[in-house]
Amino acid sequence: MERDVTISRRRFLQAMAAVGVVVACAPAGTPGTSAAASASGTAAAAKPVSIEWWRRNYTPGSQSAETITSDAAVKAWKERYPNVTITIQGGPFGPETDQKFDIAILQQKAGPDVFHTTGGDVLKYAAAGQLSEPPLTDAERRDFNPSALQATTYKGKVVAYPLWIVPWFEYINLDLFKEAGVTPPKDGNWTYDELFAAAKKLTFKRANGKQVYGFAHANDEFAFLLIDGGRPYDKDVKTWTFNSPDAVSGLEKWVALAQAKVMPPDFLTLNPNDSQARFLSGDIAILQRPSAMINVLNADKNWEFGKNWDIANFPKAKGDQTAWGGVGFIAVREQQDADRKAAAHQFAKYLTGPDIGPDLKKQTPPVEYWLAPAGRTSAAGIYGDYHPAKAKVAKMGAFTYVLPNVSTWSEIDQKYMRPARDAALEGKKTPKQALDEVTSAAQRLLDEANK
Amino acid sequence: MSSIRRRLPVHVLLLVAGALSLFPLYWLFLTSLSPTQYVVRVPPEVVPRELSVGNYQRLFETTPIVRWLVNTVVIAGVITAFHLLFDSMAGYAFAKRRFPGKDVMFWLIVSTLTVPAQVTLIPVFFILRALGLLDTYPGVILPGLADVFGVFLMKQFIQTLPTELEHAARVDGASEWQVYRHIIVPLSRPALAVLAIFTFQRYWNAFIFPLVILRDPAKYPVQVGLATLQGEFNTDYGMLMTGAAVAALPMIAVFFAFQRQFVEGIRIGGVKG
Amino acid sequence: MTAALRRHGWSYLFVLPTFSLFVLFTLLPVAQGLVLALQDARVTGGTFIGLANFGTLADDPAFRQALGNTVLYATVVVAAQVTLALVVASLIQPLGARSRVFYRALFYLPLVNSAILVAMVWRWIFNPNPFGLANAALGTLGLGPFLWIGSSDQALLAVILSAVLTIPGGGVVLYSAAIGSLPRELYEAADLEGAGPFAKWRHITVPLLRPTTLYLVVVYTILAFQVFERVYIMTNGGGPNNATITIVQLIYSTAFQFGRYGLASAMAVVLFVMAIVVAIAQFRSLRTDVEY
Repeated sequence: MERDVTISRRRFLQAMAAVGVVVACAPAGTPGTSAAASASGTAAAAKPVSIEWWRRNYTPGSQSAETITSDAAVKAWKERYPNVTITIQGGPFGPETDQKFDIAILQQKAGPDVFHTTGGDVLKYAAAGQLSEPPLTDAERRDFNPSALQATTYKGKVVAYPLWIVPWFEYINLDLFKEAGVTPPKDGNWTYDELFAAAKKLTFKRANGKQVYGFAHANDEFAFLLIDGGRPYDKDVKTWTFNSPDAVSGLEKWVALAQAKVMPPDFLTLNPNDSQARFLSGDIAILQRPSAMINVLNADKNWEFGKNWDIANFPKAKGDQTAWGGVGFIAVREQQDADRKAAAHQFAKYLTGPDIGPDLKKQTPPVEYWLAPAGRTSAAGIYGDYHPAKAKVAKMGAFTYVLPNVSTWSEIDQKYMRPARDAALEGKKTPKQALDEVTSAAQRLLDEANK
Repeated sequence: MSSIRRRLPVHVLLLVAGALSLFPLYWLFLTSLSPTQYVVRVPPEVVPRELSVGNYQRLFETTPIVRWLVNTVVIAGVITAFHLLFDSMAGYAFAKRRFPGKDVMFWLIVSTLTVPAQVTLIPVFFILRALGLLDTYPGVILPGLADVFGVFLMKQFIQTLPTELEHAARVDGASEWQVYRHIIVPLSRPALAVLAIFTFQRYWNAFIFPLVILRDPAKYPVQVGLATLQGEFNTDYGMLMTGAAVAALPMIAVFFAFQRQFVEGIRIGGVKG
Repeated sequence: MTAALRRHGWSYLFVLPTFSLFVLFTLLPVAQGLVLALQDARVTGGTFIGLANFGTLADDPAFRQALGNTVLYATVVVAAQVTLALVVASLIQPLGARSRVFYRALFYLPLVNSAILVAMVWRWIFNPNPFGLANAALGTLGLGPFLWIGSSDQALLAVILSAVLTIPGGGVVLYSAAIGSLPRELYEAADLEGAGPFAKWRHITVPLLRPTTLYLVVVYTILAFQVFERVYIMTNGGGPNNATITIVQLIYSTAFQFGRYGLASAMAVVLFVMAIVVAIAQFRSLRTDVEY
């Protein structure tokens, strides 16, 4: 009932869904044109069409990144396709807006023509038959990151356009490294043992009483379960495998960090904003966060890249180099009006394609469109051009393990995995016991998602 | 003199408790007046090192905060006005009058107080859609009038009022409406003031209903508007805190406007002791 | 029929505006919620499954935890809040008009803060780090440091303390207004009999305030049963290992994050029944038909 002013209430990626507002149902088009339009796919609508784009956190006149990039995107689009008018609908962040979204799309069977969404939600809408399949050519299919494409596949069909892939990695405070006499990882590569040793050395109390902690993460990911090769489920997304020996030993490595007390005492309730604030205040030497924090550090005059901060890969252990990651999507809503649907696909393709980055860079003042690395190869280059740290991030897509995409994932995650993880990290259960206890419920939810 | 000395411990106790309770408000205004670079300082600072109105400037320049405030005044104001009228009428009937179905109606009202908004949100949305009230002010206001805390409050209060005055007025030939208007309403002033303050505050802070019902950002009330300041990739804490501080001011004004009405021990004449 | 209408017409007219809006925007939606509770409803609709949702809840450790947390929180917090409000309002009353105005404002003003903001401050107060204010204060007494919200054993305690340590401004204002309207004659009579201030408070003020007390107990219980923001913000969700999870929080995530509307409605029904039981018990025990 209350507002959500300052707290990012949900995990970063869940917070990446688009914005919801309610629109009247579009008038029904004739079936004939509908088939023709979806066949031609990319054909620009000849007659003027007006479509609605829902973008969360779009506030007309404000300076938020979403507002600036959205306005710029519409402006650039208008120059290329003057026939198609885009109206942006905005709304605040948080699960309340997701509700608004669900109500409009699932209950009212109406709403946006084009919208932003995330992993679990995209499948929810697909299962409800509310998404129109992107008409992708084979070349385009190959252009998209395969794991991102897989994450948007429902019953063998791609149901939305991958927009960007957001990897989690380590931000390091170089001043603290120097102070504690720790060498930063060369080229950003390190092993778990190296990270552990560094975190231990970086946990110290200054003469003035200030306590520095070596390592922290916000309460929103399970990266360490991947470190020895553990994965939530098998390749077919049929069998739950997060209780495998590899996953258990990954959790053990995580627990070791907790037991060594290199993390702040409230690490179990640390939210993303707080963890960033602590890093900015020099309380934390290594912070595991996604790419968005680059802009935060960049905007702060006390922080200079390469001088007092840098980024490094998620550490490597028994498994291959990996990173925890999530995907954002642009989806097109299924509807009768063929012209609107075709225009919506065209716009979605533009929003996720290679042209928009350079288009926005050419505007005065130039606008950075990509807030995270693009989901397709042909569009990926430009993200790295924005900033040297982003150049490093752009390379992480290759090994990033995209957030499990199952329509029941948020339930598996929040209801079962998080309490189990907490119990292990607090030392109330052994990692094996904690992960074994989750298995039957997780498998049941996985089966439900596959029904 | 001696009374002051006797009361001193009471004053100290109350002041300490009050200071503790006021701390979040102090922190809010303090943060809003901090230069941006100090806003996210860890640990937060209890005493400021420097003050700045920069956040206020940015808030008023880059957001339609005035529009949001006006919207909220309209929404919360109309809801409050109707609640004062309807709740005192219903509260009077439930407290003082006997009529068939009274107990059933009252218990329905009290029992549904417990239902969280999350449960009624979707059905309410459909009802408003059927009425064609989506994306309108009436669509936000009407469901607000259905909240029944106020009926319960007024019933409990009016129940404590003496019945003799009503009887006397009826004997003098007053109509039922006149009894309500000239006996019940004046005697209920303290409770009406409380109701006004509570209701205004409740709808001043309303978030989820207006968010789901309104589509046009120009109609957003302040809490929905402020929530849009929270970014996907970065949140401007200074501006958010400043927005919250600005949003708190009208509620403070409403409190002071109505609290005078808690008249010093309303004199109730002709009451048996 | 017409005779009844003539006799009771005014009564119905008085309740009509509120009750019709209530039926349309509250009762009808609640009835729909009851129907959903008997369905296997996901976002896209569901089928009738009888009482199966309640069986699921009974077997769900998270729900049992939420139920226990909610009851514990409500019991402690309501008792503390009503007592504090009564004591503070009574202390304010004899202080003279200007002091009264001042203190009412002092205790009411914190309410203009949103629940979110207040919870953020409490999150900082009960932070287990050295900069947490509670640990800093207790440290000067040689106590602690405590883990508070960082531990599944202490997180709920911290949440309850945060509610108990706040003077309930609404209750103070309401009691204060109610005390102001109590008939003076009773006190004058008691004065004549030589009753002391505490005796007058105990035997006149407290009994006469019963309708207000009843209102506050019922409303505070309902609000406590619905506790959500405070817990959500202070402990970042349900707290370590679900230590602070509450029913409304579970309703919220079950409905809107997991899409199980039927199950969420069943939880709401449980909450609803709990609140009715409490309300009936409180109406019974605090029943007054005081006429004075």
